[in-house]
Parts: sequence; C-alpha cells; structure tokens
Amino acid sequence: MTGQIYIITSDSLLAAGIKHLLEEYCAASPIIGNCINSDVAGPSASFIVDASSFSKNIDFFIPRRQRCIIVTDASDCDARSIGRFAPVSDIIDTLSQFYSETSLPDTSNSELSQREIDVLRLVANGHINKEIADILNISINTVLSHRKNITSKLGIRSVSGLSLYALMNGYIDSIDNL
Amino acid sequence: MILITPETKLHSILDHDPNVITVLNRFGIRLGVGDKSVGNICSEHAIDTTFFVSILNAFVNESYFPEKVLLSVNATKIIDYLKQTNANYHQFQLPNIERHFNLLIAKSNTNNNLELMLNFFIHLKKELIQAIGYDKEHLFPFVARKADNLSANEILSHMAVFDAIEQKLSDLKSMFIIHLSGEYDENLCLAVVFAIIRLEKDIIQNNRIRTRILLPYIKSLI
Repeated sequence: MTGQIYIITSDSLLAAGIKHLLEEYCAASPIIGNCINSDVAGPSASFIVDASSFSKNIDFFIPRRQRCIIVTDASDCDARSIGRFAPVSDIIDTLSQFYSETSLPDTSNSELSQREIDVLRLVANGHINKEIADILNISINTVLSHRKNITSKLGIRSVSGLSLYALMNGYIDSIDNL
Repeated sequence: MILITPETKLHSILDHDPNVITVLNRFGIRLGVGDKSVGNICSEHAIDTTFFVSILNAFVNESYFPEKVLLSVNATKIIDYLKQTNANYHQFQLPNIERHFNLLIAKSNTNNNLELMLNFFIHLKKELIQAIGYDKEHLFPFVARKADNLSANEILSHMAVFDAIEQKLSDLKSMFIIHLSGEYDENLCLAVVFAIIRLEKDIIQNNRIRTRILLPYIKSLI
C-alpha cells in the first residue's frame, strides 16, 4: 500500500534539504510539518523526524519506530537514522532504501488476476461500470477497484486503449468501439 | 531546469531540452539562434518578452506554471500561440508519427500488434484533427468575438477531447514501453516512441494553457 511520507521538524532548512533529496532521488512527494498526530497520518504513513521532535512526540513515534528515520547530529547513517554531518550519498542511500521499504506500492504481482481479466474483457466490449457490476454480481466499488488495479498494472486508462490491449492479448476477438 | 529569464541565452535552453525548438518555431524563430539572449531575440522578432518567457518556462518545467502572468496576457496572443501549436501538430508532428509508424510496420512485417497500434493512433489522429478544426471554426472566432456564442457545455466537452487525447497518447506510449512484443525494427520503433512522447508532452503543456488560462477567460465571456 502506498503511504505518505512526512518530514517532521521545525528546522526549515533541514526540511527543505530532505524534501529536495526525496523528490530528486526517490520521486517521492513528502509533506513538511512541525507536529503530527494520528488523525493526520494513517497506518501506512512514514516519517523523517529530527531528534527533538521525536522526543517531544515520543508517545506517537515509539509505536511507529519501524516507520521512522531520525535525524541526528552524527556523521554517519544507518537504516533508521541519518546523521546531519554524513556524506550526502550516504543520506541518499538511506532515504532511498527507507522509501522503497515503507512507501512504495507492492509491485510483486503485476500480472492481471482472473477477476481483473473478466472486468477488462467487459470494459473492452463496451460495458459501463454499472453493467459490469451486474454481470459479475459484484458491487460498483469493487468494479472501480479492479479498474484502478488494471490501469496501474498496465499503464493504460482509456477504454479504447484497454480494448486494444485486450485484443492484442486475445481476451476479445474484435473491437467495435475503438 | 532553472527558470528562464530575458537574459538567458537561447542556445543554452535548446542544449537542455531540444524539444523547445518546436515552441520557438511557433514564434517564427528557427535553428541557428547564435549567441543571442531571449530578450534580444524577442526584440528582433517583435515578440512580447514576458509572454514568451512564460510560455518557455511552462514548457520546460512541468511543475511550474506562471498562471498570474499568463492570465494578464491579451487573449489574442494566447489564441495566436494555440493556432501555431495546432498547425504544428497537424502539419508536422502527426504526419511525422504516422510516416515513421508505416515504415516501422513495413520493416517489421511479422508483427500484427503494430498494425493494431497504428489503427489506434490513426483514430486518435482523426480525433485531434477534428478538435483542431473545431478550434479554428468555432472556439477561436468566439474568443475573438467574431462568431456566435457557444454554450458552456459545448466548450467543456470540446476541452475534454484534448484531455482524452492526452490520455490516449499516454496509453499508446505504455503499449510500446510496457507491452510491445514480437519482432520489430529497433531504430524505427525508437523514432515512433520518441515522437509519441514528444507530442504527449506538448499536449500536456498546452492543455494546461487551455484549462487554466483560456477556459477562465472564456467563462468571463459567457
């Protein structure tokens, strides 16, 4: 599941620096803040937090220790801490590792499931979501979630694009809505 | 890329992103730009420097959009720019993709998927040319107050066509990048993919101008 990444510090320069590295090297879009609570951050959120913010919000961060990186005054980094005086490449390595562990969606299964193929076939044959829900006897929300997964697996969103994909892969025989 | 200013040398922009030449062409500037700055070129070609710089920055930096400046620009200039943009798609970019696509298929005669993808492209091309025609016949004359009123619904559904085309170009790109299979001529295939990516990027940038600058202006006319 994709989670938002938060930079929690009152040090603006530190926040700007971390944000830049995350954007530049991880293609992440972090949110900067100087305080945090569980209303804002969902269970899949992760945090880069300076030592003083960490200790001020210790009740919040301790249960989330595995989803935090702490910024320290050290000159080296490890998996869950960044030293302010460490070489930039080490900081980038730590951030990148942290980001892919905690924030990237699980892409291990990029093949379409049988149910997704059923939905794709119906989309390709020109059915709208409501009809697909009725035919497969599932809810509209389930159809929407299948379609979202199909698009993220295939990189194709338009109905005509999906029809073409279905045709190219033998899921349908012909296209009349291209 | 750092923001372009009137002092920036034109060739340094082209060094960074050669695709900018298609934008320069729309202002009547061609290759062989010498060592001139943006400001110099503008005064030579009688181009509004502020407008030119905003368009270049919006084109080069995907996350940057000088909305305030562009909203203050005379609508005629925006329309002129979009006319040139449409002409560039119609006369150069679309035929260029199609030509390379046909060559690619001729050189890859055992790959049926490519023909299906070409059909998809041809359909998309027709849609785009039709939308360009609507711009010319209805939308642009309306903005210049030389034609009858259009309804808000008509305009919104016309704008939606450009969004749909942007989506289909992205889908076509995915079909090449993610799903291409079988035998094909590598060199021609790259030519097609690069041309598709270039057109997609161009349309994304221009759709920002359409929805964020042109549309608010049109709403003020209705």
